[in-house]
Amino acid sequence: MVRWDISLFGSGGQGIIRGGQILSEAAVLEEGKDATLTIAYGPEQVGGWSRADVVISDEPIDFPLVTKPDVLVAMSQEGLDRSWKEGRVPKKLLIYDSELVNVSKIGGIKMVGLPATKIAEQLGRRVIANIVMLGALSEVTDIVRRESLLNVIRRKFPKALELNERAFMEGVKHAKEGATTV
Amino acid sequence: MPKEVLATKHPDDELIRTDRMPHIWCPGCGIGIVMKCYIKAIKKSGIPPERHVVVSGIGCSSRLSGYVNIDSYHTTHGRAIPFAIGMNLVKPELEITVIAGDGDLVTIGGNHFMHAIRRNHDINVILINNFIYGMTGGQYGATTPLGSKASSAPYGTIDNPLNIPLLVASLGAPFVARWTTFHVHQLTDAILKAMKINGFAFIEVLSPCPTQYGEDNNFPTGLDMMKYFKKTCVVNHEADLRTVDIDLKSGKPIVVGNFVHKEKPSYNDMERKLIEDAMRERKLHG
Amino acid sequence: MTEGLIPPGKYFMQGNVACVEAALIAGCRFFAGYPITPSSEILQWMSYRLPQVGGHFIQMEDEIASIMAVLGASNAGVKSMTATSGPGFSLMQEGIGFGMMTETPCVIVNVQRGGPSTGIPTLVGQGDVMQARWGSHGDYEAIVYAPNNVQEMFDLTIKAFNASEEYRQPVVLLADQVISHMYGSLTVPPHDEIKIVNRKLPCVPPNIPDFKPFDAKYEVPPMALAGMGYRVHVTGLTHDERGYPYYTHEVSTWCVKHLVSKVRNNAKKIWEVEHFMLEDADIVLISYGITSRSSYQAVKIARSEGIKAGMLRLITLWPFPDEIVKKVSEQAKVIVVPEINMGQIIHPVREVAECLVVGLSWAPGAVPTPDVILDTIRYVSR
Repeated sequence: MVRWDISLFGSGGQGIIRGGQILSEAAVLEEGKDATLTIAYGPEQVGGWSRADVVISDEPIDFPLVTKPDVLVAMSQEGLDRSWKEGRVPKKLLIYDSELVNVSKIGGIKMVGLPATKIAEQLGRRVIANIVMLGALSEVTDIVRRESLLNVIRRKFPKALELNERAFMEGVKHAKEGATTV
Repeated sequence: MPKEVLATKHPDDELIRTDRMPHIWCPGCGIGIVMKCYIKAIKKSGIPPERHVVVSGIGCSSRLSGYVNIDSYHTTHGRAIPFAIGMNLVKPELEITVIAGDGDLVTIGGNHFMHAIRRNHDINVILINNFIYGMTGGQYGATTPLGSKASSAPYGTIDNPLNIPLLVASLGAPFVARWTTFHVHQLTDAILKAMKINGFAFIEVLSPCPTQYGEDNNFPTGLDMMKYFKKTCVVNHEADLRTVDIDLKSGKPIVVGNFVHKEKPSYNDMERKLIEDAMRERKLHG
Repeated sequence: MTEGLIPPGKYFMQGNVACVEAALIAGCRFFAGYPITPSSEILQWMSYRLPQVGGHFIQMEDEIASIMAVLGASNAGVKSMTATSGPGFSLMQEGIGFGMMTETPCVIVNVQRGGPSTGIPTLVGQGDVMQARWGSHGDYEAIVYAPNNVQEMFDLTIKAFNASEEYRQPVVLLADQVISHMYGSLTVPPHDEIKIVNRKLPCVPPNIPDFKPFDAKYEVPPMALAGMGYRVHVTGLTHDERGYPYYTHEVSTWCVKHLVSKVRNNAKKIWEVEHFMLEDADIVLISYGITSRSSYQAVKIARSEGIKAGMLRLITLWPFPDEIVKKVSEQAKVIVVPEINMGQIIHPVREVAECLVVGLSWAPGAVPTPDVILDTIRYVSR
């Protein structure tokens, strides 16, 4: 049995939950795997922290919650700091927004940094930073196939197809370049 | 010489559960009069009895539902209105009348009462106001006139009673009336009007309770209260509702009448349109 | 009838949303509710979906009004539902009792959060197990389902409607914050393969003399609805077969025994449990809802360590599957009951168990992880 525990952590408005949905749907609807998605927020109605925990497994999932992720996708400094503070340190991989998250104190773990939010802004839509991150995730892990993620994205955003595909492929490209093992 | 005839049937038997007689109400109680007026209105309404439903709560007044021979629902204390709303929404063709007491409808059930009027559900509500909790033994409630003696107010009540017609009108009900058990014809007519109203139709009926209210408050028999109604009631359909509060001590006139009678879209009208639109939208866009 | 319902297929969906889609398939066309975390998604999704299928949605002024409106709609013949959480469930108890006494089918979803009182509104609890059983005053037999995944939020919602129609009484779907808020995979089967039960209606014509809406010759009497012409009297008072209130011990004996017997006599048909690695287990977890998800994993790890662990998962909490628990206990050395409360379902377990019963009481606000349960398994296995 292969089980992946993935945590996407950032702040409200960054598409964290949507990112978790795309990842889980790719596993369930495209690859016939089992997945669970649980979400958590800070108490603020706007702008607080936001976390999507995804479990993906090729067998039915027993325990559906993420206590210690294999992969952490940190899209804000608070996302990184809270994860460490709560002992939710990733076991295998940290992917982070290199413009928003300072990882100078982190060590002993494989890390991939890319300026996802900046890339999204350059493409004209800050809110698609999550799609950039999913592209990066598909490059550096084999949790789900790249085509599965793209299929879900295409289904979800038929009106902004090209933009989202470009964002995704930018993520793939930057992850190729930005992988650093410390 | 006319021979003595033993009546074996009453013209209203069809609408009374005669197998449940005798009823539980005290001699001099006014609730039976309200029941008679309701039955008369059912007969005159042109709506077959099978489509009439009476819903009540808990209390002396609410026992009325057990004696009328139509579909009748005797629910929990204060909750007759929300029960009636559920029934009305799924079967709007039913003519649903809520009949309950003052303690039930505007004291424990005050919140449901207020919101049902605000939303303007198409139900009729007859509130039998006898100024007291009868069934539980004469405790005071939200309609007990200031200074009244009650089993839980041996020194006299110190809380201000509700002016119910003012409250109901302020919430926008399309029909608001007040009558007493002395005004049998006017009350029957008001119930008929209520049945025709599309929306929340409300009637307050002042009614004697010689056992629990009257005895300690100078109305020792039902007749005393009826005489007081006869003497002090003033019909004024145009009354300023801010002035229609009740004081049974000073001899202040009791204002009765059909205070509000207007047309207004009911919740049911709005809901019908919402459902039609949602169904059409779904068919268009899948 | 299937127009506007969720098509058969594979979905990835939130538990609360799955519950709504299942209710619509079960035939629910009336919902009354009041917003409360963590059940509000059911109210919101109902407000969107019910009008699309010609159903009625209303947001009431409180939970008392919500349950009463549901009972009113059901007495007019429409399958009805409400959803709430702890504080709202407390407010509904009088209405639930009225539904029991008047034998009115309906479904109440209680998405459990931490308590008592306002407790931890956004986080998980399992503290309403006993309230779901004994919450209203007087004697009745509750039927309560406890889902442990999104698929069961769907399947058990339909079963809850079916049981409520079959036995003519309110039925509770006792979910919890995690299962309700979690997204998971859902398979919607072809609609014609889903078993739907509808209440029986009287087979005699209306207006016959001496029609008995609660006729004692039936275990579950056919339901005469408002407007059908039977001129029923329905009361929360202790009543006879005619529906008329009577204050005698004789009528009370008949009335109350009738209410409890219709469930007690059919308990074996209602019971649903899952046997997980129980064949040779001498340490048995009795688990339900979200806690059972940790239990699966704890059992598997324990097995890998050579401990003969297993789990009996309760899908119906009430009526309590006492004979099944007793049988399992005859083979077990120790039963462990992990729950997110200070000990609730452990009581009926202790009542019938033939072996040592150990509670794993876990305060609301978090799910006991597999490690926590595993520690207890290891401890009792020594």
